[in-house]
Amino acid sequence: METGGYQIGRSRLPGLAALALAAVSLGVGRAEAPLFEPSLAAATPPPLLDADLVFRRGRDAIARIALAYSAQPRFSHVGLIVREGDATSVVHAIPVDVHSAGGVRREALGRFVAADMAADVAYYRIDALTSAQRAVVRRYVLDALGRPFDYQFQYSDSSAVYCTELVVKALAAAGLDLSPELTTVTGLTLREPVIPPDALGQARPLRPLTPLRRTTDNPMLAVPPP
Amino acid sequence: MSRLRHMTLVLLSCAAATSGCSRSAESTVERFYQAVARGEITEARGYLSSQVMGTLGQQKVTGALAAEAKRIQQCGGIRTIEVQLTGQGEIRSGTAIVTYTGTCPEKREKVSLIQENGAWKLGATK
Repeated sequence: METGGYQIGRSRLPGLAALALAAVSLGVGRAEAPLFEPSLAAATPPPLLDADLVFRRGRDAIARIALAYSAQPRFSHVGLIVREGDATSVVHAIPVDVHSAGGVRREALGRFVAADMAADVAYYRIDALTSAQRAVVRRYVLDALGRPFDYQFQYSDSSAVYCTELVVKALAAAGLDLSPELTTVTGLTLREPVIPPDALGQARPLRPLTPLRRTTDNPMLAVPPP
Repeated sequence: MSRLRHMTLVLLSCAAATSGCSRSAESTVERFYQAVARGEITEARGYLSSQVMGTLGQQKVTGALAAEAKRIQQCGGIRTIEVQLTGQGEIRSGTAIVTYTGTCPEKREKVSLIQENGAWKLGATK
């Protein structure tokens, strides 16, 4: 495991010197502001039910640059709420990173919306879902745990899933198929149209549980797309 | 003669070990930001992973990078770029802290990289 900054990585400093430099560069021994500013989301989430949706805009540089160029950018990711007693978690599909092998994972809500993970968060509910349907959604996503992330973004193939695909298919399993009304995007190497999180967020059955901000409040739109 | 050749090899090995034989993941991040800041969109595109390019398409990527270049110019250009990465094998992730010459606040963002054909490329995370 390599840890450290750009200078350290290049100079291959010997042990102690590298350790000392790493400590300085990582801010050990000095009071420093948090790495990321607080999320735009409310600190306390609203009361949530199984099958509620939670959207976030991550902190990723490339995702920010791409989303800022979209007409109504807000979210880069979505997951489904699963309750277990007093604990609330999110089941979602993510690509591989240095912390996990990726795929469909269950994560504590607090971690999903933590400041270092989310610049913005919103919660939605589909009021039309009955308790029985919510149970079906819950069972679907829990059964999907461990399924790999779909790097081909193919909705027609359920052996691997991307974030929006997981949510849409879980709702469809409960009898609510939103896919026909969702806006899709196409890409050069994409074999099928892809459903972006923002398209799902604009689906009619979804009711925001937190107040929606005006798009002018969105710092990503500080420089409007040309 | 053979001693001289041996010493040359040792020196070259040391130089390679201290500078890194291929471009590091950290320098790829730095070069990406610098290319965007200069408005070198084609060069900047070259630092993006095939997944990003394939998912977004060249047209959207080009437009997005041009808009980002404009934003950086409005901030007076980039003053410093600090990259911290962790990981092993063909994956790295971490943060980039970019400060600007003008009055824009510094930007702290996550970056993720994957190795493609021996070169580090920037991906996108959720």
